Amino acid sequence: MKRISSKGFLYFYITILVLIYTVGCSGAVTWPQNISKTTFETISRTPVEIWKQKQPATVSGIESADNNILLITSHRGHVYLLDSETGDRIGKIWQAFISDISSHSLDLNNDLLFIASRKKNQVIAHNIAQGRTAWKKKIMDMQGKIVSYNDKIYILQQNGIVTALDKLKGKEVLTLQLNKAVEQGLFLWKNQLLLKTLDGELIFLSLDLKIIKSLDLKLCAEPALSMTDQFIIIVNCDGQITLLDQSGILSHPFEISTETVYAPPQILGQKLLLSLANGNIKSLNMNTGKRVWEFENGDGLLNLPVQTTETQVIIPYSRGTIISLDLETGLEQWRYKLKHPIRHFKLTQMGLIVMDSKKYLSLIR
Amino acid sequence: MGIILIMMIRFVRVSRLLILFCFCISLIQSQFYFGRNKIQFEQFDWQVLATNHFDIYYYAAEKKLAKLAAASAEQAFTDLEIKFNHTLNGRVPLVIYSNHIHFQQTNVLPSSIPEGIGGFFEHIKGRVVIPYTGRISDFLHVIRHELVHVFMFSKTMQNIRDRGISNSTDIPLWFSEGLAEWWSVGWDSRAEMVIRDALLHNYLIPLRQVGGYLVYKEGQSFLRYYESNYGADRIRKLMEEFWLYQTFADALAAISGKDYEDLMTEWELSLKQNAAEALQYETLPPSADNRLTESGMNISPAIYRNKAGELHTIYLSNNDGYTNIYSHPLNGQDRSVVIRGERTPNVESLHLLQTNISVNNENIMAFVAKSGARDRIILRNISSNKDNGIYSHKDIVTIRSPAWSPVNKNLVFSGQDFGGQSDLFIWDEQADITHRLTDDIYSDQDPVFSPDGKWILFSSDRGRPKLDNGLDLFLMNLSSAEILYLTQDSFNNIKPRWLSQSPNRIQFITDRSGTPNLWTLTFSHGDDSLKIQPWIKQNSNFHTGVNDGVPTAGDSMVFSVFQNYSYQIHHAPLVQNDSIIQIPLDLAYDNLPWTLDEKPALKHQDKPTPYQLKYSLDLAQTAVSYDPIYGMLGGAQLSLSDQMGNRYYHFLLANSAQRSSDILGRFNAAVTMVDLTRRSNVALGVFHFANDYYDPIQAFYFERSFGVRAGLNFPIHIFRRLEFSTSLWSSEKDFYTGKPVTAFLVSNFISVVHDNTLWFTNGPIDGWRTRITFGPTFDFQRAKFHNYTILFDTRFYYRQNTSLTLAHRTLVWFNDGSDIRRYYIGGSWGLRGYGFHEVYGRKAFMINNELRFPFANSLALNFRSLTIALAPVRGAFFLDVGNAWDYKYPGTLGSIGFGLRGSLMGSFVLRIDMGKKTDFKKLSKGLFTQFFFGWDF
Repeated sequence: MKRISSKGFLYFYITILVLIYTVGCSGAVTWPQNISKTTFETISRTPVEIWKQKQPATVSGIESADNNILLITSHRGHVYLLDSETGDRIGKIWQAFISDISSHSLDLNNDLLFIASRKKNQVIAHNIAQGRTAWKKKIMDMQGKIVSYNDKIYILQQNGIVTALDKLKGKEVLTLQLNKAVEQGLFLWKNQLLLKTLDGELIFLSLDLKIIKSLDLKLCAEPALSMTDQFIIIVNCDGQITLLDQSGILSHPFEISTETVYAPPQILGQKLLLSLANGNIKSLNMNTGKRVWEFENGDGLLNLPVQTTETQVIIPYSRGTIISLDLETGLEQWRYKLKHPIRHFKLTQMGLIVMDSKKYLSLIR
Repeated sequence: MGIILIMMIRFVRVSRLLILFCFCISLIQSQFYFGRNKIQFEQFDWQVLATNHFDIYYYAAEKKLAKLAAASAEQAFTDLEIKFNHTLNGRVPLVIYSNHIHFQQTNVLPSSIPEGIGGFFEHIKGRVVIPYTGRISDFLHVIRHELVHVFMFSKTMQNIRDRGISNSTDIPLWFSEGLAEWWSVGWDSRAEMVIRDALLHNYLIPLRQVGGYLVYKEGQSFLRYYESNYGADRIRKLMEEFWLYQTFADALAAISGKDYEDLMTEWELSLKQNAAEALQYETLPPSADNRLTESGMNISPAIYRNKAGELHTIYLSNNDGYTNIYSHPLNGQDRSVVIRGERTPNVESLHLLQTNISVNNENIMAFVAKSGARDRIILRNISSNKDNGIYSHKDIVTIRSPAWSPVNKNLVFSGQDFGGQSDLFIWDEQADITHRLTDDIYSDQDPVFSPDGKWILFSSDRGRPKLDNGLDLFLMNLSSAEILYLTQDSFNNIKPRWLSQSPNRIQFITDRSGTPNLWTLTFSHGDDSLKIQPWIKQNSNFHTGVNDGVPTAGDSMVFSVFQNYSYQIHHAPLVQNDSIIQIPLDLAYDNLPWTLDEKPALKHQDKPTPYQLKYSLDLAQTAVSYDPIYGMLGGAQLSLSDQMGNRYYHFLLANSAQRSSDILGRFNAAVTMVDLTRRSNVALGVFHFANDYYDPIQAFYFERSFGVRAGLNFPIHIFRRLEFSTSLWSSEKDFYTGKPVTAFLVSNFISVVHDNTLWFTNGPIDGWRTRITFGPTFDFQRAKFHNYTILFDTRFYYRQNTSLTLAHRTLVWFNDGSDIRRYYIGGSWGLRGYGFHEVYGRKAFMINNELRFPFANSLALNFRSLTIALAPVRGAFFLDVGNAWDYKYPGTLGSIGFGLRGSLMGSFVLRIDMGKKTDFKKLSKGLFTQFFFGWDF
């Protein structure tokens, strides 16, 4: 009888590993052609599950760039595409980092996908038409979100350095040293960059990295913040609501919220929708500050942004319940229960894309 | 423990697969070489109550508690979900026991559970296990505390698992325990007391190095400061982003935007500022002139007069490590031990910090001691030093704070029944009848008779609209059973005592000034009714706080003050505060009925279901190794247990085949079932092993053996047990001659094990432990006696004072017959100075003596991100004598020298020994040096 060779076993094992990584997890994302923007339709009845697919890792970002395609990034560095009709993967999984993808930005005009990893302190620009890496850049102590605008990509560092890179080449074109520690990353609003300092200031920058103004709002580490075309609305940890427009801080009729707020508030026409952490939703009149309606029959923690269509509010509760309300009356329309907590939630043209804590991504509509 | 076992079983069979040891280790978990016993006194009829997020495991007698736990756990879940901004992925198993004695019997943790453990969260199966100690607010606090751990573990692990991080930044204990305290109890007078004392006596330990109980209080204090200055959202952010940083200190610094050391300085300065402000109005602990004790926890003093008429105080103290009861003359120096605790089955525990002592005017002392399945009141005549009686009741599991009636015939005490309800009882000693005074879920504690014997004064949480904090004082009319409020506020009003036999003045402890201090309450008092117009006056104003206070005959008091991380007993006149405050006793709450409002009601409609055995995974591991002689080796181990940890199945599978034709013949497989449900622990196993071995005497050989094994442990009490094991197996040994020697053997081993030792970080320092084993083996195939083994191993630890210990070990090994095992005594854990393979034989004796003493209190290596502490370091002078032989005694060997031992990071003990060998004719040339990882013998 032939003796089993330990060296042979080792070679076989290494070969299998190499094959797994080269065939299964490597490669690059090549983008299909003819991508268009989407609009959302009302889901008027209790939705049903259309598909459910186990994902290789917990999703960190979902980009619905086309009616049929979802761009997925994961906490383990994966980037891949899914057919949103079937949930099937299109092409291979590209493992951009062996680490978390903390932020991404898709620029379809230049066929570039920018992905950033805070753990790796790196930004990668990926050419999605050619399926290859355009450039890589190390940025130390990167903070949160990156912003892509026109021909530049803007990146924030913890020590307050803002850097603008040339999108196509990755070269540093502008830089600004704020001399203040910052957190949460950059936001883009009306051709301005917004950032928050560690001591609670909100700083507005022009796109050529000049300070336009700074407002000492005494913001906490993670205030709930959202933007519309007209306003920026911030709910601070102490419940203080701040409304801003281009002219500065606006006076408003809203009382200080005594409840914790994690999910960003929303302004829809003349209504301010406030999502409380305890699961209640308040609809407030923008002019009077008075309550239009309040929904109290939720299901525990609410920390994901509610999604809206023209006539409804869709609320994703962390415990796994999705509730739809009539935007005008606040009356419950339907309720859908997942078996596991919700980790990611996105309203797309195809319906609701939901990731649960067991790494299942599903489309319900 | 595994290390000890492996080191003690000095059979030099070089097994090809180390995992085979696991089979031996896991046969019965409590079958350690030494160690105290965890005894299952009770057979609990477990039920499961399913709520929205919890499976509450309880037994029928604690149905009320289960409902209370369910409601408060659900409430805590909702609150913590928001605090953490996180929800849990699965249901939480919450196991509740109605008292601490039952809790100590849990098998969810295999190890013994000390009295100081108030509950735990076990990470493998996510179980939370909590005892009810009689007080609802404590119960709710512990539930919330453990749920903070559950949420924290889930939130931090989610970040790690999502990202597949294998070498994550550690979350320090001060953060996890501090947050569990801060987000459960908030800030309380106990925390204030400890932190003030730490500042006063300069022992506030940097968070990087803090350990022990201070982990909780310093962590709680820091996070209180941090949340109020930096916000709760930064605490959440720490749990979300810690993995991005190299160390937790780096994460804290980055998220706070401040240098770590600056942050620590800020916190300490703020503490000092607060303490300095408080000290303007408060007093320091009294001077050493009035102090009766010096170190340790000295509490629960009572006063008595001896035969000569001299006043003495009698109190509980853990000054020497064990808890004892001491007597001390108020005007003298020398104290004497009245009761030695924690060494014998009659006094397993004296419940330090939980109970009081009472002495009547005939000098009969009543105190509580745990013995077996319940507490007992022991009556001890202090004058004659003899027991005067013992009380226990089959329905009362725990007993606290007995107090004599004025006529010396009755004792009132608080006790918990099997279901956990804490009520007041009176024991009529002469008639031996027990009367139940209260019967509700409220906690009633510290009862005392009034001087006329008609009233019971006690402390209770009854009537509190929120049961989450505070205790009031009450009076019960013994003739009508009516219960009346004496205080009604939000503070902890505890340990009331009548002052100077006065019918209308009592002294009690309250934390209304910020820390617990002594106050006096005066009220008008009718014959059978009360006309309450209470006034209170502050008697002590200590910056830290007091635990007890007993008035003596004069104006002086005997009291215990918290100082220098200990309680010390003082005898001094108390300076009274001039301010007099009238209690706003508007009696807002009705006195009756004393029934608990069970709101918030349970939302779920599920009925409890009986507990069903469902096994889930504890351990699954594979091992692959490479041996230069035997090639590639591999195996797998699997362990399953039920939710209560009562039944285990261990599976072992490995193969040592070198050729494909050998695969079937060289399977190593074992299955063991362990049942820990009852007092006697039972294990049954079947096995098949086929391996190549090496023995220095027999050289290389192949052995194939298969058979069955059974083991049984019977604990006589917590310090002593009997162990039985039987193995029936077939053995086939082949010395590569092609002529295997076969045998069909049966072995029976019986052992007696005793262990009441007291441990320090490096090993035992007091008490004694012994193992005596006898085991014959018979060969059924040849119908003859095969071999026998005798082992005698005894160790005594004589403490000369609190720091100096003389340790002694005598070991005798005797093995005779065929196919015998030789015992190896050389090495750093045996006969020092000799190699492990140098001294062995079928017979052996060894005597080790060590004088152990403190060498250095602290030794730490500070790196940027890590502090490695090797402390405390203890020294030892040693003298070893012994030898091992097969047939003829070769003469006595020995060694003499000096060694150092230090506990590395509070867990592993690193030892170094240096000395000279001797044959008792001359000393060897040069010094030998030996290293060892492991506790002292």
